[in-house]
Amino acid sequence: MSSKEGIRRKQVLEEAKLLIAQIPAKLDRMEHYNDLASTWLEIDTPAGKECLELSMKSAVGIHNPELYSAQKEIIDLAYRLDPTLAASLASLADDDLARVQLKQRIQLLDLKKKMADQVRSVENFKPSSKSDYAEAAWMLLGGLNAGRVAPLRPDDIRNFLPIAAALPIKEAYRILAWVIENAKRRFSQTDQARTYLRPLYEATFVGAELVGRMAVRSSALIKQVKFQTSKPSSIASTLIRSGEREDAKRFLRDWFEREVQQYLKICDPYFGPTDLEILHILLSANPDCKVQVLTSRKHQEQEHVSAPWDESYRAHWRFRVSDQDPPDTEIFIIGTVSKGDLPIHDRWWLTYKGGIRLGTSFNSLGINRDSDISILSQEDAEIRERDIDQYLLRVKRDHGGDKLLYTIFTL
Amino acid sequence: MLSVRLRLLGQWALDNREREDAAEVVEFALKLAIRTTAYAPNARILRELATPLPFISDESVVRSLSRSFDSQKGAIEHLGPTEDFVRLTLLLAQAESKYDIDASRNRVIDTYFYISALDDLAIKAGSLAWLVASLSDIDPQEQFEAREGIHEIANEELKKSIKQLLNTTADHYRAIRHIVRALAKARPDMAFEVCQALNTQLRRDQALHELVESALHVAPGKINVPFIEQVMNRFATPELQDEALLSVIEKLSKISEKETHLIGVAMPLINRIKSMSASDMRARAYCQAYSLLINKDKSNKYNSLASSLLDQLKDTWVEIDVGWQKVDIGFKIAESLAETSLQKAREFLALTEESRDLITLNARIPAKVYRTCLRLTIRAYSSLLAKALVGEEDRGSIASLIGLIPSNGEQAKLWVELALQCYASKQIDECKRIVDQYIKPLLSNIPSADAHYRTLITVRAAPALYFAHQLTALEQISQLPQPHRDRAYVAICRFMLTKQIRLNYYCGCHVIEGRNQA
Repeated sequence: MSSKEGIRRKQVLEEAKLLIAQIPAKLDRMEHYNDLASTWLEIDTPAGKECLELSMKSAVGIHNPELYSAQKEIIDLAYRLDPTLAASLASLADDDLARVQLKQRIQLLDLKKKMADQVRSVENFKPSSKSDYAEAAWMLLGGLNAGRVAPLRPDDIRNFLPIAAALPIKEAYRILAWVIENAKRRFSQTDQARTYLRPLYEATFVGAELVGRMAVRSSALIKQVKFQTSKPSSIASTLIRSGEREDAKRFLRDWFEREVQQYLKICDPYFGPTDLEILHILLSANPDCKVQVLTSRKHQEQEHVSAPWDESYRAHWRFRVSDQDPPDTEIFIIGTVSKGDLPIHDRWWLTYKGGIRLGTSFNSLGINRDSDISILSQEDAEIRERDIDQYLLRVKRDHGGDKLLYTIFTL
Repeated sequence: MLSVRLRLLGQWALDNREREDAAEVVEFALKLAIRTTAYAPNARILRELATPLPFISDESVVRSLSRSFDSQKGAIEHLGPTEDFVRLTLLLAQAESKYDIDASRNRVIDTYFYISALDDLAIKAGSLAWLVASLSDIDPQEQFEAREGIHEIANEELKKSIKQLLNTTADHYRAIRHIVRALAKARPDMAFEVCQALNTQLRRDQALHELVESALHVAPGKINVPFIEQVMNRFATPELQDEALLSVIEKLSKISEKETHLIGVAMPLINRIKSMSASDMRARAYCQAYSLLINKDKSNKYNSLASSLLDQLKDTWVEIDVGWQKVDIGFKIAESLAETSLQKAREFLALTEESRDLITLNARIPAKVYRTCLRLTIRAYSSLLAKALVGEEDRGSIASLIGLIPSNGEQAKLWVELALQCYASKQIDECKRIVDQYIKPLLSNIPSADAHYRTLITVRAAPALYFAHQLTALEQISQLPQPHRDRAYVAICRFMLTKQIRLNYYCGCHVIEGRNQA
């Protein structure tokens, strides 16, 4: 630029300064001074400094939430020129809170400078919090992108990774993005790209994959909890009204024929000898099916089933149900010592990859009141089956500290 | 923390200004503020605490409290904010006007002179706006006018200040938004006029939005519905209009059963819901409008309309593209419907749960964490491009990770990031492949009913679309509504100049790496 043009440029900037002084809204005036300072600092440092001072002085008397943003800009500009200038400008702020905030800003800029200057030992830094590292890393990333900061050596930034690990992902992201960008700018065009960058990519990939799996697992767990704490999510249900017992039997016979495979596990705390009729239906529909029945001691006692219970059940089958032999059936009568309760309260009939939920016991179905039968999805049935198996396999020995008593016999 | 306690008490005073026993709380808070030397409350906190004063009927209590506030004025004047200091004095004048009109008038005159002496035009204009707005409460009969002509003087001074402010600032919205806020309830027509005088369409719309939101700071039954309808007609930016309309409908849904006459007046606003561009806001507006019609109207006059709104609500909700947002909104709708119809709420709950069970990342926070991790992966992936260290398997793996996200738009955003990284690394063919194979189909898969979201994603994708196929991209961008069209052009230019991607979003701020911008 010729000296004539240089003089003209200075005149234009001086003119701009005079115009800015006439802006009647102080915050607006500050922002214009800041813009002017950022241009002027590169050409004429003393004039730029004067603009920053004028800007800071314009803030006196303003109590506006947006003020800090303009003051921060002044401090950032001044710091690039001279950290002591930033400190002296910060002291011009007219209220205590602003002075504290601007001092913290200067500390952050100090931290950023140390990180960029490759001060290796993190112990030498005294930031107010780990979040400051994230903020400083973010500014350094901006510097890298703009070409104002050179990429650092891996050894110089490794110390910041444990800090990122201790931060929430929102803040850790800023440090990790800076670390990756550093490595990218340092090695992506070199022969060391494979050695340094490939493992970095693989690590981030595994990280993302892991988070994805955790999210999926967490989602599945929520579904499971929901299933266990509320009404099961059936895919279809049939309402059996009072007086429709034959319909109920027909429905069950169809289900035995079509859906039941290999085994049937009946969990019903109110199952008693009078419910054995269902095995007769099963015998005709699916004769090779093995059956396990899980019921409660309490119900046997309330129904006054004579002891020994195995004999009472066999007698009922022989005298009241059928002349045929029953299907291969095991009966588990389980209850807590104190009350005789079965820990499972619902009625589930489960088979391989399926099941149904009954609203009432079989011997009441379609007799006195309306009730429903719900068909369970495979997933729901499997979750239920896992619960029931804890008793059928005698893994569960107590319920809430109350010991469980088992009576098991073959029909 | 005393400051927190006082802020809470101030908020309580704002929300319960008309309660008979509010004086006890104000007195307690004032004593708390005065006796502590370690913390000095500013003008905003004291102004909030003074809000109930004009509604207290016991004169001796008002006098006593006013004296206490007066004793604090000297200390808070220099702490500011100045506008709150002015508002505090105006509240005291309003309270005083009930028992000592001369003292009230003197206070108003003093306040006017205090404002006149302010050297910051923006603060002066804002303070004048509060004075003009308060005068209609302090002196509704305009008794002060005969002696000092304060109403007229303040009015003229305010108009002059606004004119000067608009002539000397560039960002008109920022300069006048506090004026609009002050005038919205007492002088809505004047506020409306100011909004229309701003220098760009977007700023005019931002001001109109501010006007509607501020005008709603009244009891639901006192909403000036015809005025709001008039303001609604002037919006040109759909998203700001949507936000304003949603706020109005939400407020209207809180009217009491004695105020049902407002339902008929609000019909034009309810009819506007269908033209809302953002599907999430549209769904919420339908929900609130349904609640209004079913809950408040006992005549059953609007039953068929309510039923139709519910159908449209379902249709809108189904079309929301972002999975976790759909689930979140679905639960909110069910919660809202539960107040009016348990059965409808259950139906919606079942629909939402069904939708939730179909997707994996069905909650906002896990989805955000996952996307953040993917961004790091994409950054690391891009570092391998220059030396061609990326294989077919890597491409497939990253596609499967992105594919896990239950949203066409959110997937597209990540692909855009990757495409632009490829472009910046001079892998032009790879950039084109990503645009053709992923970005374009994903954009077209965003449901048409979620048009606003599709527009936002298209703006994001604009640089990638442009660098892959210039002509078709420009054609596609030309179909976007304003101001999004311009934003898309800006995004392309920015990437050309900086090779940086403006994609990172945190804390509701647009973030350029290393620099936060509001």
